[in-house]
Order: sequence, then C-alpha cells, then structure tokens
Amino acid sequence: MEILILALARGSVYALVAVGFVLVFSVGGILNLAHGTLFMLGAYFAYIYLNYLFVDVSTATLLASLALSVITVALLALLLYLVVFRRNIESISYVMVISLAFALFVEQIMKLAFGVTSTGVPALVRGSQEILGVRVLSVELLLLPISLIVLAMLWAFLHKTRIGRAIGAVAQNRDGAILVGIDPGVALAVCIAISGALAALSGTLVSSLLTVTPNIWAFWLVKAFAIAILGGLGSLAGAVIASFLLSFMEIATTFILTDQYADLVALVLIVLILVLKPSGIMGRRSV
Amino acid sequence: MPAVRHPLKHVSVHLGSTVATMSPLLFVALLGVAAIALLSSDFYLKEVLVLVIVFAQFTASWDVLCGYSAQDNFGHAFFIGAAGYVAALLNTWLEFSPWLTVPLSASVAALLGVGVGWLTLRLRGPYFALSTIAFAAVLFKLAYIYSTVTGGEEGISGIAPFSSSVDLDLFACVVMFAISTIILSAFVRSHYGLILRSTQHNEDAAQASGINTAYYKIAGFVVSGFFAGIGGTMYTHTKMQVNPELLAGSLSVLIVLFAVAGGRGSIMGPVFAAAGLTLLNEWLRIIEEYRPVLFTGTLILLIYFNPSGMVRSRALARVPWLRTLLFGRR
Repeated sequence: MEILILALARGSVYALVAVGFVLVFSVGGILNLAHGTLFMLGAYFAYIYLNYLFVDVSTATLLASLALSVITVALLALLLYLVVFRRNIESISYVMVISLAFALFVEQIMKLAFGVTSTGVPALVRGSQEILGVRVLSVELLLLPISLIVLAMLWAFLHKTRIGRAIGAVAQNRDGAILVGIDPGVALAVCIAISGALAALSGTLVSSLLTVTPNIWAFWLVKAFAIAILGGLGSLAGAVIASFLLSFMEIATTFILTDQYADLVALVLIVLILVLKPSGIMGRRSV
Repeated sequence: MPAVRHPLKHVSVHLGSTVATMSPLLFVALLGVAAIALLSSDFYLKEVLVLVIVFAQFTASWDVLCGYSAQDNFGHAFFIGAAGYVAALLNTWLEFSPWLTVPLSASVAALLGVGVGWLTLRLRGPYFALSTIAFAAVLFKLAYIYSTVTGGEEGISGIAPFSSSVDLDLFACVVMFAISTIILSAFVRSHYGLILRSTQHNEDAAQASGINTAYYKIAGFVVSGFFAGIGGTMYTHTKMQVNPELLAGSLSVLIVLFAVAGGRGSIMGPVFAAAGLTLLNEWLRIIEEYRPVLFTGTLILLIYFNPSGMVRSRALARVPWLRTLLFGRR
C-alpha cells in the first residue's frame, strides 16, 4: 500500500516532466536534452522569486513565485528554441549537442550563483496526513490531483482548441500540415513553451521535497528518457502510463533492495526496451 | 570494389599514403610535445600536455565511428572507463605492467564495442543516442554499487605509471597517440570509412548494393572502443588512479562537444578542437571561479556559430593552404 501511494505521487511528477519531453519530440522530431535543465530552473526560479522578490513566506507568495517561475521558464524555453535550436532545427544531432552544451552551461552558472549546496523552497502545505495506514506528506498528496488536472488541461488544449489540433496535425504528418497552411515552426514553438512550463511546474512542486542542486538536471533527464522510451517516443498517453509504471518499479526496487538500485531500474529499462522493442508500449513511429 | 576484402591487408596498404595526407601541423605539434617531454623541466606543463593528448585520443576514437556514420554516441566514457578500470584492476591485483595492461584493457573495450554495436545495430538517431547514454550510465552506477571492487567514489589508486618520470610518461603518450591517429586515419580512408560514411546518407541503399553494413558498423565500434580504451589506460597510468569520473556522463558529453566543435568526420578537426579546448580549460584556471562558465560558454558559442565544425568553417575554406596545413589533404 505504501508502495502504491508513493508510486502514485512520484509517477505524477514523472508524467509532468516526460509529457513535455515527448510532446516536443513528436512535433519537432528533436530531443531537447536541456529538458532536465528546465526542470531544475523551475525549482531555482521559485527559490529566487521567493527569497529575493517576495522575501516573506506565505501561501500567497509561494503560489505567486511558483506561477512566476513557470512563466519565466516557459519564456526561457521559447527563447532557447527561437535563438539556438531554430538555427539548425533540421539536424537532430545539432539540437542534441547544443542543448546538452546549454545544460552544462546553466549548471555551471547555477553553481557559480548558488554554490553546489542545496537550496530548498518551503512546501505549499505543511504537515503530513495518514491515509490507509500510511503517513504521507501533504505536498505529496497534492501532486497527483495537480498533475491530473494539468494533464487533462493539456489534453483539452490539444484536442479542443484550434492551435492544439494544429499541433496534433504537425505531429501526425508534417508535410500534410504544411499543405493545409499550418506553420510547423509555430506549432513547435508552442510545444516547447508548454514543455518548459510543465517541466518548471514539476520542478517547483517537488522543490520542497528534494534537495535542489545544480546537477539534478541529469537525473531528471534520464527519467524523462526512460519514460519516453518505455511509453514509445511520440506517444503522450504512453508517456503517462510509463511514468506510473516506472515510478512503481522504482519504489518497489527501493523497498526490496536499496535506493542505489532504484536509479538503475530506469537505465536498465532503457537498454532493454531499445534492444527488444524500440517502439515502446504505445509507440507507432518507426525507429 | 569487392564488398569484403581482408581488413588488415587493405588498411596496411594505405598506412604510408595516409601519413602523407595527414595534417603536417599535427606532426609538428607532436614533435614539439616530444621535445618538451625530453628537454623541458616544467612539470606543470607536462601534466597539462598529458591531459591534452588523452583528450585528443578520446575525441579521435569517438570520431572514427560517430563522425563518419553520423550517429551520436553520448556514452563514449563507457569504453574509456571500462578500459581504465580493467587496467587498474590488472595492475593492482595481478601486478601486470602497464605495457601489458594497455593492450589487454583496450581489447576488453573492443570486445565491449562488439557487444554494444551488436545491440544498437538497428537503432538510429535519437534512439541510438539514448541507448549509448544508458549503457554508460549503467556502468557508472555499477561502479558505485560494487564499491568493494571499484573503490566507489574514491576509485582505485596506487596504479603503476608507465615509467618512473613524467617526461617518459608524456613521451609514451605522444608515441601511442601518434600511432593511434595514423591507424585511425588509415581506417577512415579505407573502404571501412567509406562504407560508414555511406550509412549516414542512405543505409538501405548501401545494403541494397550488397554491403553488409552491420559488419562495418560493428567494426567501427571495435576500432572506436579499442582506441578509446587506449586513451582510458593512458589516463589511468599517467594519473596513477581511476575514479567514476572516467565513466561519467559529463566526460562523454565533453567528448561529443569537442568533436562537434572541431568538425565531425575528419579526425583532425576533433583532435585539434579537443587539444585546443583542453589547453583553454587549463589556461582558464587563472580565473578558477569563472572557469567552468567561461569554458562551457565558449563551447556553446563555437558550436552555435559553426554547427558543422572548424574544419568546414567558411573562413578556412577561403584559405586552402591553411586548411591543408591544419587538416591535411583530403
């Protein structure tokens, strides 16, 4: 039972991180290796706004800094796309390399600005609750509903709005979308901003739960990979299912073995899936 | 050209002509380093030069496969670290001399190359990149988990150096590196390089013309792994220690960035980029606090303004003699 609840909480964060990553891949055909960095920046900006802009800590300022941080990172992601990626967007390799270089660069800047020690943000809600005999932090309980609401909003956006459907069209058939007058560049720009916002949101949400250090981006990037690969690169539904699967497997491994092996799960999973069934559980795109 | 010839015979025929087409500046630079190794007494400079050569070796061995087949291996540290650890264990447990551990460990890395190559054969583009990251990261994690063997974060120390002095160590590295680059250049000039290059444009077409591209890709992995392994053992024996840094993702990433900045698929471009940027990194130590930021910033700018690398920069295309001097004849 404990495993299940923890897995649901962690899985909902994974889902937020991975969905943005997969969205960008399915629309632009590019891997944004700075995705973990966007997650990290979400946590850092929440800290910056809270400590330097608002100074006093209350629920209102926490929410405001959270919102501001999400907006900042979304704009930053957009800027990254417009200035850096778009220059050579046709080359998957260029985007991977330059986004990794960017990730390293941001890590070093953050090290310079905040040091290698961790920074934390106070939790939105304090205390813990007992559910079905398990003590859980209240914040962890918030994660699942928030994640589900955001994912539902994303689903509605992609299926009910004009621009959302345009994005879907580009993902399905790029040339066809161009023929009916959709600009794939705009669609991708929107997706990157959304993925940045989602990553930042998850970053701010868990910033109170884990220690935020300049090098956490790599950890989250690997998780996003593993989920994207497990769910099938290009499948949003697959990514959500895979998030919960992965978190369940990790938590179970932590309980059975130790923490160290839990990190190995994601990696071994990537290798196994890529070797055995590269399209993942829900993927259609050929490899 | 027949699809399959005897590999060694074919490569060895070209060794002489390869040297003639290689970068003249490289040989001048190597002679210079060798002279410093034997004549200079600047201890710090020699340490830096060892590092420069080791990184050049890493990057050249990455380029031989990934530059020519246009696949991004983001886990090159897999081979480097594996060879480094094998050399360390052979040396500390069995007391093998460095002259035995280098070929043995490099062969282990080459064998691993067969394994990774075979497993990732079908994968392209982002899928290939992701799987290589995962392979290296698994090994990195294992180095911590089996800390009784690997020494965990501390790593293994007390490994024998090549010789009793830094001078001869540097000299040994220069010689090994020179031999490696000549063989690597010959390899990419042979039909192996040609076929690897063909896979980046249209692998199906290459297969349709009767070429077993799988064989050539795995051969590329073997060569890449072997020379990366030599680089790893150079590092191990000159630093006299190994730690998980040698397996880390950051090392793999650095190698990719060096190679891309230099111009993938040219061996010389990545070599000079790796050497130059390693020197820059060391020189930046005078402002240690800002060094990592400036260094990674430089990498971004280099790749941003010259996505296809120094070798193919427009400025260089206008000065053919300089191009030949730096990167040799095509």
